[in-house]
Amino acid sequence: MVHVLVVDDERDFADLLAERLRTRGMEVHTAYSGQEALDLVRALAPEVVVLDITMPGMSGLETLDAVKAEKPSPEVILLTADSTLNTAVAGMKGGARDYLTKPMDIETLVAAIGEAEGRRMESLSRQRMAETAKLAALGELATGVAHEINNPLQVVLNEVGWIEELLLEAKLEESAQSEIMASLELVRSQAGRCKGITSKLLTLRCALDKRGATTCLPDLIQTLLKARHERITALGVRIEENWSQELSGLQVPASEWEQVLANVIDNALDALEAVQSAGAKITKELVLGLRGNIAEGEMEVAVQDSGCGIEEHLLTRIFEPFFSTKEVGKGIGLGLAICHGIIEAMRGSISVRSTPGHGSTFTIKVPMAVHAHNEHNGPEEPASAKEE
Amino acid sequence: MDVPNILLIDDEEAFVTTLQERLEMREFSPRIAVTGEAGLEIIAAEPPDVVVLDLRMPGLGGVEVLRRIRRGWPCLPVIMLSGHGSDQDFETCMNLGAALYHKKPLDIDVLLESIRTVTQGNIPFG
Repeated sequence: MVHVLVVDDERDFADLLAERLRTRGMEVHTAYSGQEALDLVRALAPEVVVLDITMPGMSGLETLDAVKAEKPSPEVILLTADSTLNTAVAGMKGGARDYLTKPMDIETLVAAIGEAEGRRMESLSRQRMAETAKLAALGELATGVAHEINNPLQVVLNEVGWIEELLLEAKLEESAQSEIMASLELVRSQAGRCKGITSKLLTLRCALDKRGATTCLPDLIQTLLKARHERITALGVRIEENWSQELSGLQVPASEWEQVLANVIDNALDALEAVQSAGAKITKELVLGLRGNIAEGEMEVAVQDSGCGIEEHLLTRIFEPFFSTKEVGKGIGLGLAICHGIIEAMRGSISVRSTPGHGSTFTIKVPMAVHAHNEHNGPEEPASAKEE
Repeated sequence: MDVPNILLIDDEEAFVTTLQERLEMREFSPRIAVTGEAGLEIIAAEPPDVVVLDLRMPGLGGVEVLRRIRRGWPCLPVIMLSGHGSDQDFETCMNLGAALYHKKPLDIDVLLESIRTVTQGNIPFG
């Protein structure tokens, strides 16, 4: 149900409009001044505000500014009289989604509210996706840093142990020996502090946000392919899809899967492009295969390309943060690291099989318990730990 | 067997050479390799009783070395060392038949205890 706030200093008009919107299934509150509107936006966080431009006291435009400064900010539809049309245009620049001229047709307003709500959902999901990516990247970075520090720490601690052992054999004066031993103990304890920090870093993986929108994978794939339609056509890539019926009916967290699949599909297209630009004479069919099914309590999604493939010695490294095989400027090496972080947060796994010159297959497996949980959007823990 | 024959494989040369000397002080005669490839060659020439293997190395990584050891020497116990220590790495190695998995940094006494345990056959592997 869309939650709307109607703001107009003409009380009768506001109340009537509110009543008519309620009969169309919306949750509606009313405010009769700019200040009151702002208070209600803060208290109730409506999704859409229908705002009269001409009001005494705090004007419509001032109210618009204040409302748009709130987080999260609602979408605003301005209501104007003909004479205030210029003000309405200024309002659009100030972040209003739409304006309607009074007296307006109720159906026009309902449609405008519906559209504003749609835009709001879209921008929220974009924001969430960016946040998911940031968190995952941070987690991967932390893991990478921890690893890079643990190796030199191992060297330091090992050397300390070695020096201690040599000292015991060296027959130094007792006072000198105990001083050196004390100093080594200090090195050891400081290294121990670093070890404590790295083990904390290793636990800093993003937790999944359970509030997000859900989608089904075939729909998500359609959206992703549509956004890449030009590139796919230009390369002459044939798309093969195969989704099991069970999987098609399953709701999965949208922004996480979008992030993962967008990265993997873009990489596949890069690999296909590499084949095309490498040997124009070789008539090799460029295929992007997308398939998924559910088996043994796990959903499995595979993205397969007939592209250039990945050399064996690189296979273990491609999920590391800041590791990239692409030309400078084409990628910073975070895409797959982010995917890895997201999938791991879903307690799944992502793996790759590749034959140089023949193509690669990325396989993602996620336990169903994670998705069953998201489907209900409930606060309880995943249904069963046994399924993991 | 009295003194197990140990092979250390780690690309961090400073680490393996010192570890080698420390083990020598304890009456072991470990051999060392600083790449996975060199490690496999040593195993092929004369298999040790136990391998201590770093997970992440340039070139042939620890997982791949472990896989090849399993294929060629199914009864040779392998102790994995990792600076990363994610659950996934742990699972991958254990599924591939690693005897034990330790996170770096690791105390030499813990390592020695592990070597004793796996060479006395107290932990099933393979």
